[in-house]
Amino acid sequence: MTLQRFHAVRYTLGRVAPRTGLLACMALTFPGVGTVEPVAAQQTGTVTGTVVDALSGNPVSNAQVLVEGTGRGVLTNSQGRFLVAEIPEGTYTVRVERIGYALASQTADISATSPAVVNFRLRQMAYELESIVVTGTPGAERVRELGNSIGRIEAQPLVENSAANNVSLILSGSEPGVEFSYGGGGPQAPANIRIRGAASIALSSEPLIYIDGVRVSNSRSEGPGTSYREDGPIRLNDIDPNEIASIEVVKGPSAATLYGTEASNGVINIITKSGSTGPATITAKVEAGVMSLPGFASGEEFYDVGVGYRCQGFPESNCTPGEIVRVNVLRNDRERFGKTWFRNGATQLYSVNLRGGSEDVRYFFSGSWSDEEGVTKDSWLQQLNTRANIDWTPNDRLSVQFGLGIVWSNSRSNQSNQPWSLGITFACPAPTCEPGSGGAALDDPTGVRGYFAYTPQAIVDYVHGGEQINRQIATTTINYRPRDWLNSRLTVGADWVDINNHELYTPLPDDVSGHFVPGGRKSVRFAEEVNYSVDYSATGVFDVTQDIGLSTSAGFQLYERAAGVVDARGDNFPISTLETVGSGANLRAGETFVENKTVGVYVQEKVSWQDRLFLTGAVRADDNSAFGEDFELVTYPKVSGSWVVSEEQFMLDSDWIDQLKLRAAWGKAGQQPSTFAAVRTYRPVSGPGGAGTITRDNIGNSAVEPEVGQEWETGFDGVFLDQRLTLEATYYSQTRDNALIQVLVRPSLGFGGTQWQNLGRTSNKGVELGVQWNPLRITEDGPVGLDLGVNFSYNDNKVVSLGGLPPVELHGSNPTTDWGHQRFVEGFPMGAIFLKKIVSADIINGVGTPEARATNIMCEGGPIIPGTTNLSRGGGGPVPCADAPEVYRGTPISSHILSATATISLLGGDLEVFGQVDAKFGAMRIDADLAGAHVFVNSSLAILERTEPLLLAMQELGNEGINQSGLVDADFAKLRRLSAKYHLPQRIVESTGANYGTVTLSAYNVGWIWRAQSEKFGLKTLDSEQRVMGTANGLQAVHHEGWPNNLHMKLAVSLTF
Amino acid sequence: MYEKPTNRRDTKLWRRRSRGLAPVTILLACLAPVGCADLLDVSLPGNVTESDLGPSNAETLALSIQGNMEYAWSQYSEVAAHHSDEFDQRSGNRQTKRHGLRLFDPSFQFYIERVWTPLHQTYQEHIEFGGRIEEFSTDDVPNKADLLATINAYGPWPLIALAEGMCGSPIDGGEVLGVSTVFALAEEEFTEALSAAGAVGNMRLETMARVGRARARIGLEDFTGAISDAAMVPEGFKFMVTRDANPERRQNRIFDRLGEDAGARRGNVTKNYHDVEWKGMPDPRIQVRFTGELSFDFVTEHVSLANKHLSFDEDMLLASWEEAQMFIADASARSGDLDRAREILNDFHQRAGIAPVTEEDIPTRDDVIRHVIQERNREFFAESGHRMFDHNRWRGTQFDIPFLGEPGSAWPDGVDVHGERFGDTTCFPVPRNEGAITERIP
Repeated sequence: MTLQRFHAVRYTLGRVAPRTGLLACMALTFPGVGTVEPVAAQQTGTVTGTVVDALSGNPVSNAQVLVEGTGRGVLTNSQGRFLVAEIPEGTYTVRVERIGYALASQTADISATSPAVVNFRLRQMAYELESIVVTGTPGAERVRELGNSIGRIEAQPLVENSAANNVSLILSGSEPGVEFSYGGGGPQAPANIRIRGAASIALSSEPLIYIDGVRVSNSRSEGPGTSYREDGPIRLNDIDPNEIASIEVVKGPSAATLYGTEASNGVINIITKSGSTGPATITAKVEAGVMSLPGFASGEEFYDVGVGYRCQGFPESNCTPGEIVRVNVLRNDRERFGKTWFRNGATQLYSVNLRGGSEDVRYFFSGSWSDEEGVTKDSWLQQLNTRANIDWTPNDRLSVQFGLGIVWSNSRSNQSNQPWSLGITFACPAPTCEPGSGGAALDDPTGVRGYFAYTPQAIVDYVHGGEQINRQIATTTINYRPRDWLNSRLTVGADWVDINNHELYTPLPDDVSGHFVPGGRKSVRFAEEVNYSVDYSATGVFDVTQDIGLSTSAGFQLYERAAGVVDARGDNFPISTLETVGSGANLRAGETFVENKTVGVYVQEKVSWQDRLFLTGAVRADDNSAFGEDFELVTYPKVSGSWVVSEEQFMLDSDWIDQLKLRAAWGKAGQQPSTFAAVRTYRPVSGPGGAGTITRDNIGNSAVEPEVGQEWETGFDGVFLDQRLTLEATYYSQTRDNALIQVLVRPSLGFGGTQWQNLGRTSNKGVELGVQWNPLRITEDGPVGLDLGVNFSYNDNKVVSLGGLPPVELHGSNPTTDWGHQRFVEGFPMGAIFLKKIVSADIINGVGTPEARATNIMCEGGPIIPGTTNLSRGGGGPVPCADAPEVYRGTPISSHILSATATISLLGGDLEVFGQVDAKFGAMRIDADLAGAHVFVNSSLAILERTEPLLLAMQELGNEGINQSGLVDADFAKLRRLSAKYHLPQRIVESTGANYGTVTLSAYNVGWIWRAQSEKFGLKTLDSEQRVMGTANGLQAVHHEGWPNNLHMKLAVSLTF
Repeated sequence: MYEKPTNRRDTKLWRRRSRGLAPVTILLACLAPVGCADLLDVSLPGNVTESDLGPSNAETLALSIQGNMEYAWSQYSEVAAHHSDEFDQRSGNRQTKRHGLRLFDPSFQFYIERVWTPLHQTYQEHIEFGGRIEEFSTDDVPNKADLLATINAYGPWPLIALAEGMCGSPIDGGEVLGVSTVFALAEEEFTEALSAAGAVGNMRLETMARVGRARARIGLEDFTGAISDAAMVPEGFKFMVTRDANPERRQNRIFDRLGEDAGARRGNVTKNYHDVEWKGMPDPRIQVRFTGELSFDFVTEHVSLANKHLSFDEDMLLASWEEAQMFIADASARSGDLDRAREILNDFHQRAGIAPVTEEDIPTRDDVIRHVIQERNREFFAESGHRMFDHNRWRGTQFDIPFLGEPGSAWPDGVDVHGERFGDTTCFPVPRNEGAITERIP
């Protein structure tokens, strides 16, 4: 019998209080546990050893050790040690079980002469009914009680297997339904988080983030030192992955009801490591590695995209007039001027933590220092993280957890301002880069040397800046049980973030060209954000009968966010050595402040039957400072049920089902409008003579309400085949009502911009599947162990209604450059891409001649979508493009996301080799680097050769054609992670004074396995995964002007003392 | 970062420094029933709400109309010059290119946000702010009449731009009005402005409004009325839109776009205007400068203006005696008084130091009108949207002035120096937010 089945048997003995009676019950169920049987009349021996966590090396206490066939067993002590004596001589299987871990067994030869030593490294289980979930519940609840799918991610394996030291990177593929997309490389790689598709038309898609029950910032950096447009680093990445124990993910409104307004995008709760009872253990880790361009390519290899010029015959160019000459500006810089601009950046991390404690006080202290260099000199990060967590349990009715995390970082991102990658991908604008042709030519040392607009030299050597972050996250949770049946919890906490972002453009000397502010500029941006949380809940538990239990909860939450920014800029320095804002001849400054508050109360009732069938109902009411005056409050109900069917009599005898839970849930949660959506405001602006004046700003909407997400989900979680197979499957169907749309205001009313109106309705349906399969269990099945895992999710999202509005353009769809053409159209996916589709064209004026042009350009026709003027699904015959509709070309986000992992254990488990493949399907991208080179700066080889009729047609169509020349299929499969972890031999470990140690070699973003499209008309698309991040609700299909996701490699040594 | 502020609005800023107190305060407040009602109060220290627009801010309201109108006028003047045949686009930015390539459509965001909206916003603000001041008592606002005179004088000018440059325009969210209706509204508003300025004896504002009304009357083809107003403008009168180095709204927008300053150079003076002459003599009124820098397209050489719009803080023309004189010449030519028109045109030649224009040069009415068009072009090059109006008002007549990309223009083949094809925008369209109109409504 396994521990997992124990729970069902427990009911044959009578209902006992969960958790508190567990150990006592073990003793009853397993007579040998914790006791020593009478001595048998034969030779006996002893087996001893240690049980540690396979990942952290920390001792595992209270693990049950059984010597099969003897009925003898013990529990491990606080140091993970055990000793089972008086076992008759012979060969036995020693089996170790503990809740939350997969069972493990080894063979031991017991003899009377010397004790047999067997050590165990337990692997944490993917699924366990008795695990505690703290997220989205009034108090901690067991998995068995939950009607929702709540993702639970153990952080340690991800940290060990990832060469990247960044939370958003390590979480890739870790949970079905949770998508991380990446905007580019560097130590502060920007990312988006999206849970269960796309539901909001105009609001953020980012989930809420909590740390130990306290809401923290989920914003992203802005400012010249680190971010271009809204591609700045996200606050999630301030957290040191090494201080995270686990992450719980509330995926949708049905589970997020108790989080209320703002939670309909889901919730990510980070649970930091805590102390443990027992002597102090110290874990120290040192990492060293590199960050490089994909494939370890040099800059000139990676960026050899396929641009050039048509030779005019300048003597310096050594080419034949009319010849198309391929250009590599980076190679040109190296060969002509001896300059290189890319590097393999060194990364290092030093981390140490201390944990231990008594029954009354337990502690966890950690600190880490990270120093990373990006692939260019203007990209780096230094970060210091410290954390102190203390658990104090003065008596059995009161416990207090204190936590304080402090972050300091100093970073510089080459994403900042307009990235100089633009200068490379748009190289050779027009023929003027030909050597000998003048100031833009490849051979002019004082000009732009063939780069477009920016030269690396001007940016790297003459622009300096960065971002300093000081952040403190304080959490306090008090659990008080005044009565046996009543438990209450108060969580109070705050997150303070101070950001100092700055950038200095040093005036360029006369012999250097290549940025837009040669006269000099200093920009500073000071930002402060605070998030305060107060969360109180009380739960009373009543046993109505032996079989029926009631659990009644009530609580309230207060949440406040305030963010202020002061920015200033000075332009045009009279003397090049000046470096302050005030030194500029032209000054500008600004300050903004926004504040938002939410107050919510809720009640929840849970009914249980025989601790295997649970029915929960709850309702929450919220008010928010952003709601309009004409709107009072909003209520969010939920209902859920779970049934641990594997504990029913009819399944107890199953040989292949270890655990099986069926679940279903329905519920609502909200998404608040923006802070000023309800209010009519006027904006202060500078007026004549330096006087302050005002102008109309926001028209406001006093009736604005929150968006309301409604969702039902159903599924099952099961453990099968003697814990070899774990399955979690969920189907969900979600609608977002009252979806806010930024309706364009008629400017002739005297207000610009938009008005927030609750007009839309969207839907998301999907499937999530998590599979863990352990076909080969090391030692039990042989010398090789094999664990396989698959996380798969499918999402189908669409706009159901726009409330009578015509198609809505994707807000923020890159107005400055015209790339885009994404819309919200009823019946189509969110942010669908509509473009005219050229199907044929002829070339006139001679194929391949400079004068060649496209003519007879035909586009795909098709019936016009009702309610639109020029949109179509296509499918019609060719029509002249001037008369053609814009045809649906795809969705910006992937519909199918797959992550597959394999862990091979060798050398008796001492060596573990891990690999992860991530794949995404169903999305399109508009690669503006491609489009720009083809038909904006006209420097691609294909546009110069002038033999591709479709490309020439795209050029001919101008604005309607440019996006087509960059439209690419974004599907890909990538070897995301590869690692090998070696458990150091005990003698080596002990020689250092430690008792456990590992060496891990890992790589992240190893390489493409497959890409649906890697070029268009011969021009390379550099990164299928990359998109613009912060704008347009994360639905931006466009990518341009950024750096590719990096290859990371590192070697890590970890020792536990 | 912040010091403790002294006024109520900044209370929350200070509170952010008092870390740790807020959660406790909130909790205690909620536990006390009387405190819960205030839990959702938030501060808006950077925003102005309607309750702030009281008598104590009356002067700010009036000054706001001046400032907002100056911003809108600066924006319009630049876009009108860029869209007319005066400037060539030289931008590396696809949106900015659209100005010069005549690729306006009703969803062109830059145009909507930076030209159309500021004009309407200023006009509506002048109604709202003027209405608020009307309701204030003279006890509260002793200089109420002066403030109203300012608001009424500046407020109608957006209508001039809307009538001259646009294909038509709604006012106050209504139906799209034809340009003559908008001109008529402008005339009515300037008439009010004249009496408001006259009531307080403010001659400068009164003359500025008179030039405005003359301009509206030219648009209405009320030549008698236009001449009557223009003739009352004293010689030497000039009323400028003030500009300064304060970024964004206060800078000279033409210098910001066309100047040599880094980040500008998004346009060149079109090649047709590089060597402007009259009878073999250089006309000094349009002077260009080859700066030796690359334009913002990073390909072509930059050509800027050498005699105007030379800095961020150079004021821009709003109303002048010269314009009034040109209105008289214009109206005279069109109403058949060719001698008076020639006389005024010659005065312009004389002031410019170029050879006179004689009856032999422009013998017929059509010739005189053509010369008026040319003189307006040279005298007011890149100023006040005059060229844009001439493109629009003469479109389809014998005086048609081709836009760039059209036969007879500097780029007659429809393709510019970069190989980019010109679009077909003529008048500025009514944005989609209002209802898409692309034909100019009379």
